[in-house]
This record gives sequence, structure tokens and C-alpha cells, in this order.
Amino acid sequence: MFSNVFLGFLLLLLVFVLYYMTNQNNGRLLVLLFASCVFYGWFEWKFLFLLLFVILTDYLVARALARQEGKRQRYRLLLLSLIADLSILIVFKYFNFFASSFASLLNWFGIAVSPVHVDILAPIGISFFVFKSLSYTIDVYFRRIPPEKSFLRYAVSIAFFPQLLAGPIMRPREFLPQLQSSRPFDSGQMVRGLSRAILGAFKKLVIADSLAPLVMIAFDKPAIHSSMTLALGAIFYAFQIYADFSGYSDIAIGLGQMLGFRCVENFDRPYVAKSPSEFWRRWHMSLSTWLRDYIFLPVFYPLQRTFSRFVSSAKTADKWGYGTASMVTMLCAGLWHGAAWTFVVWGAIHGMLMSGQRLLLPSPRKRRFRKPPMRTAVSAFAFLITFTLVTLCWIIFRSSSLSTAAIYLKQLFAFTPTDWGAIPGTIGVVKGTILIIALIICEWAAQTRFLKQSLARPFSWLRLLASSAAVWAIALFGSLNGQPFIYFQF
Amino acid sequence: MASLLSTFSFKSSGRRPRICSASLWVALLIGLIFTGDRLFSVGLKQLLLASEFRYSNLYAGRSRADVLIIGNSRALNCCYAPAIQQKYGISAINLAYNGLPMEMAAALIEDYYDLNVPPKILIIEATSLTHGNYSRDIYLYAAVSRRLRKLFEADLPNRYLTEKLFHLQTYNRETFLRVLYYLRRSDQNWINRYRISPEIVRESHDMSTTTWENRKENINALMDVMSIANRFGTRVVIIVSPYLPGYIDKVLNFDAWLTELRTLVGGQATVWDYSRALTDLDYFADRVHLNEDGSRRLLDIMRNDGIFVIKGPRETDPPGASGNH
Repeated sequence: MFSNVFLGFLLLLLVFVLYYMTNQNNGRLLVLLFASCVFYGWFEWKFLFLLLFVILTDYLVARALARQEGKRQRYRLLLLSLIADLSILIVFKYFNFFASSFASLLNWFGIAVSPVHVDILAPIGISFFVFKSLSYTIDVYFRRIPPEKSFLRYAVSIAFFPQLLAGPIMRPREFLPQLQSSRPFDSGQMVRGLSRAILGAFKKLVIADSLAPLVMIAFDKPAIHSSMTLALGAIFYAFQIYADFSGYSDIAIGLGQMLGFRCVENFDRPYVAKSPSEFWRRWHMSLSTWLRDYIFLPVFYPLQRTFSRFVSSAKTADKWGYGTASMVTMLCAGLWHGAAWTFVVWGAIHGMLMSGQRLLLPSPRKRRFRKPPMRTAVSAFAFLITFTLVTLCWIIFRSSSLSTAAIYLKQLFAFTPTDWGAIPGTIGVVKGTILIIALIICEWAAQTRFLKQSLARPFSWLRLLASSAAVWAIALFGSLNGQPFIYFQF
Repeated sequence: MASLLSTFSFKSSGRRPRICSASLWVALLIGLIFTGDRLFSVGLKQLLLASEFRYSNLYAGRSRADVLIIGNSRALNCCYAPAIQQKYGISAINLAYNGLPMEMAAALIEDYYDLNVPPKILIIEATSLTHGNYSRDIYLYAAVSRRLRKLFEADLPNRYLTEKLFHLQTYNRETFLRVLYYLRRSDQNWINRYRISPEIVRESHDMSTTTWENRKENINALMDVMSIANRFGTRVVIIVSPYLPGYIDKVLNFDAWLTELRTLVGGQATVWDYSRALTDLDYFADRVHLNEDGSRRLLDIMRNDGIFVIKGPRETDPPGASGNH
């Protein structure tokens, strides 16, 4: 693992040197494209062809859309892009899942069928770059952006290596304008990016990987553990997945900044959310905005119009439209994460929570208790409930199957007596708890005016100290087992 | 083609890139990282040697005992050092560790002889001769032991290199947490105290058979240890501590292995077979480890066999004492 990391650092350094040595934009884009191909091909070179197929198909479709004015022809071109991109997802990621689920359904009806199983390795990052490319053709179809003439620029916008494997899902309409001009070297941006990447590595190697052992123990055989162990396992997983994924996003955003690009943010302290919908406005924001723009809104508006024909109140039609669109969107979100019923159920529950919130809770304008201390008490209660519900959903997300999730939840709510001595890996639990508290304190502190002002200056001593401390912490507490990023599997 | 080539031109066109501020910051960052790494690791090394953990005492030169016990987890649990002191008035130190092979034990023993007063009796649990894997937690002490550093470099060359670069990584081990835990308390009371469960007893009947083989490196290490021990007048005792009744019958070549061991050590050490010495299940924590009660019972047996007889003054004797015990 050490030799891979060391080699990775050397290659990254080479990319930066070559990138900034070139003067012209096209030269820099060539360096980026080459680096992205090497990066992606490192894992499995055959999947490079898949990536290039997606890029080429949507590039050509978008160019054709620009030449077509007829509604039907443009629609057919969009359909071609959708079919090409989604087919790749379905074949490589979902084929076995749909086949086995269909066979199970037939068996349930008494029709004996053996499921077809194909040994396919899902290309890493497929969900991310397919969504990126899809959003481009959809935006060109709706004339939100003009099609990109340069294949090089378009290819880099999709294959940009910091974001290729696990996002953020930066849409071409946000990224292409930045690729059109050569970005002058910005020393402040370089330093900000470097410190951001170091922070991301700290979150992943120190926090996420330190929480992993107890999570693995709890989820491996939940039936044999006490309720306290399972509760700790669930909370640890909530923070593990947050630190892991936001850590990767920080690394990706930091590397992008070092190359002179502004990348979209992916997280905004999701666990301070006071409602399920607020959680999704703070968690994996690049995915949730993609789902909002390309699934939720196209489903919501027609449904709202349809419902308004059957109900007298516009507000009721709105609520029902919102609820249905939320369910559809979150089911897609669940499926996007993986080809398993646990993800589908996880998405469905989030959809129900968001629908329930809209249907049952009063709108913000009509809410009572607008003044402290009642407002504070209500906010605290809402925060606790949201965190609890989200963590319970993570149990289903993390479990290997629905039956394991059911056992986990059943054992968790059995409230078995706690034997503190029997909690596995006590040292790891103490370390994990301290790290979670440290993460919460750091994220809270980062919102204070003092730190915001200090960190606004790129060359501040505080930034220097914080980055150094992160590296010391990685050396002293970081996991050296080479655990992969959780979101690489999606 | 010309325009493509010109994109890689080394000539700057227009403003020179302002890399000085960023370079300076990065240089400061690297400097601060390495300075902090070295400073903090010096502090942690002091903590390491100040601890009462068994190996910290060893490398700080604070270990003094008549009886030294070493081996793997079986040695950790079969010879309870505080019991030897309480029952027989003989000072004892247990230097065993989970999974410790003889090759690593030899490095620890040789360091012990370099830095501390040699013991009168050295008890080695024989099954450490069969181990192939190193107890990598012990590499924490590679910072203070040339012998352990050599083993570390051969075993994990990449990690060895990163620890040379980042000294703080040396302390990124669970052992260091134990060091901190035992900062102000002795770790000699570290022993199993639970009883074997009926399920494990039942499962042991269905265990598959196995054969034991001594690792050549471990045998060579044992020879070195016996040679040093004899040079300093230490009596070497090799024991096979008790197994759950019926377990040792699963080792098909046990008798041949024991005979070979006795032949190898010759007159340099005595080999005692206690593998079947205890039959009461209450003395066992699991199939291969005793608990505290089992250890106390075994020590009585060893005492009756004369293993704890010490000729000459003991560490626990007042100054001027002479005789045999």
C-alpha cells in the first residue's frame, strides 16, 4: 500500500508540474485528460473504453441536438443518449439484481425459475460519470446550455480525475465555462486546495477508518451483541460514512482548487439538520441537486397539475405532488447507491420521511414557538429526532441484507442489559468517541467568526498549523490498513 | 502540429507565474511537519520509557527479578508473576506477549541482559518455537532496540521506511495505548480470569488433528539465548504448559516433537512437559490458555519439581544473604 501511495504522490506531482509548465489552455487540458485516463485505467484499463464510449456518445448527441430544430428529432436524440447511458448502468450495475429479483417474484407466484447470473465487475465510479454526462445532454436538449464544440474540453469535464470516482457530481454546465479559459496560477488557491486535501485525508484516515472496526463487528453478527454495542455501531457508522465521503470530497475539491478550478460543495454539516428534507439539502448536495433538477421537478410539476384536477385545494394538490415526487426521487436515489434491496428500502424510507414531513408538519410560516426558549427546545428536539431517524436508516443502508437489518433493529430495540466489559474493542470505542467529539467541535469551530476570518486568508498561520496538525494526526492515529473509500462502491 | 508543440513551450508568455508565495508556504508546511514530528516523537519516547509496561521497564533498565518468563500468550497466562512473588517470595517478571515467536523473544532477552541484571532462572514456553508470524506490536520498541529494528526492517520494509520518515508513526500502534494505560501501574497482573465455556469444551472434541514443526529461525534463536543465559549463570527451563484435556492428543507428532526438542537443547536446558498436568476444566480460560487459578496450580507443580530452586543470593534477599533456597 505504501508503494502505491508513494507512486500516486509522485504521479500527482508530475501532473501538477506539467500542468503549470504549459502555457496554453489546450495543453493543460491535454495533461488533465491524460492524467485522468491514467488514473482511471490504473484500476482496470478495460473500463477506459466504457468511459470514452459515454463521453463520445453524449458529445456527438449534443452536437447533433444543436443542428436539429424539429421537436421529434431532438427528442429521439435525447432518447438515444438516455438509452446508451442508462443501458451501461443497467448492464454493469443492475443486471444481476433485476434478474434475481424477477426470478424471486416468479418463484413467489409458484413459477419455478432459476435466475440468470452474469459475472460482471461494475466499473468504479460508473454512477458518477454517467450522471454527469446525462445531465449534459438533458441541459443541451432543454437549451439551458449550448453544446460544447471542443471534444477535449467536454472529455475533461466528464473524466476530470479528482471527481471521477466519487464526485462531487459537477455538471458540465458548471464546469465547462471554467475549462474555456486558461486559469492563471493563483498561489492562494493552491494553498487553500492543499490544506483542504490534507483535511480530507485526515477525515478519511483518522476518523473514518478508526470508526470502521466497531462498525464491522456490530454489523457482521448483530444478533450476538448487546443493544448498547449496536447503538454505538450505528452512531459510529453515521460518522464513518460522513467522514469517509466528505473526506473524499474535500480531497477532490482541494485537488481541483490546486489546479485552479472552483468545485461544488458536497456537504454542509448534514447532521445539524432539523428535518429529513433539510438533511438532503446538506448531504451529498451534488447528487441531491441533480436528483431535484432531473427527477423531482420533472415528476412534481405534471403530478401537481394532475392532482389539482381531482382535489379542490391547490395546497393539497401541491402536498400530494410533492409526496409522490419525493418517493420516486428517493427510490431512484436508493437504487443509484447500489443494486440491492437494502438501498431501495433506505431510499423509500427517506422518501416517506420527506413526504410525511410535507404532509403532516405545518409550513415554516405557520409554525408556532418562534421565540426562545420554546423555539430552542423545539429545534433541539427536531435535531435529535432527525439524527435518530437518519441513523436508523443508515442501519438498513449498511446491512448486508434486509434480514440482517431486521435482526439489527430488533436486537437494538430489545434494550438488552449493557455489559460495558463485553463491548468489543473497548480501546477502539473510546478512541472513536473522542474522534467523533473532536470532529463535531472542529466543524462547530469552523463556523465561528474568528476562524472564518482567519482561514479566509490563504497564508494564515492558523491554516499552516491546522494542516501540520492534520498530518501529525494522520501519522499518529491514521489507519494504515488501506481501507477503500465507501463511496467507491457506488 | 506547431501550435500543439508550442503549448509545451518553456518560455513564459506574459506574466511570470507567482509561485513564490505558495512555494514558501509549502516549504514552511513541510518544515513544520517534520519539526513537529521529531519534537513530538521525542516526547512520546520519554513517555514510552517512563511507563510501567513490561517492555518499557526492560528498555529503561528498571527490570530486576530472579525469574524471567517469556513466550507467547500461553506463557503470559501460565506463569503468573505476582503469584510467584506472593507464594514463594521469589521476584519474577513475565515478558511474554501474544503470538511472540522465539526469534523476537530472543531479541528481547538479549536486550534484557544488556540493560538489566541477569535473572537466575529463565522460563521459556516451548510453543513459541513453532510460531512463524511476528508479534508486530512489539516493533513499537524498535525505536530503542537495534535488534528489534533489524527484525522490523526484514519483516515490514515499507513500514520501516515510513517510520524512518515520520517518527510519529512508530507510536501508531495499539501497544502504545497499553503503554499509556500502564503509565503508573504494573502490567504484571495481566492474565485471563474467566473460565472456559461448555460450548468451547464440546467443540474441542471435534477439532481436527494437527502436527507441530519448529521454525529453524526460532531454534537458532533458542540456541543463542541458551548460550547467553549459560554465560551469565542463568538456568534455562523450557516448559510445555497445560492444554485442555484431550487437546494434546490432536497433535499427532507431539511425542516426536518433544523428543527432538530435548535432543536439540541437550544439557543447556531442562524441558518439562506439563501439557497434561491439569485436568480440572475450571483451570482453563480456553483450549490453550490457563486462567489465574490454573496458573497458580501449575506454579505449585513447578515448585514441587524444583524449578524455582535458586542457588546463590536472590534479588529479593536482603544484602549479605548467601544460601540455597
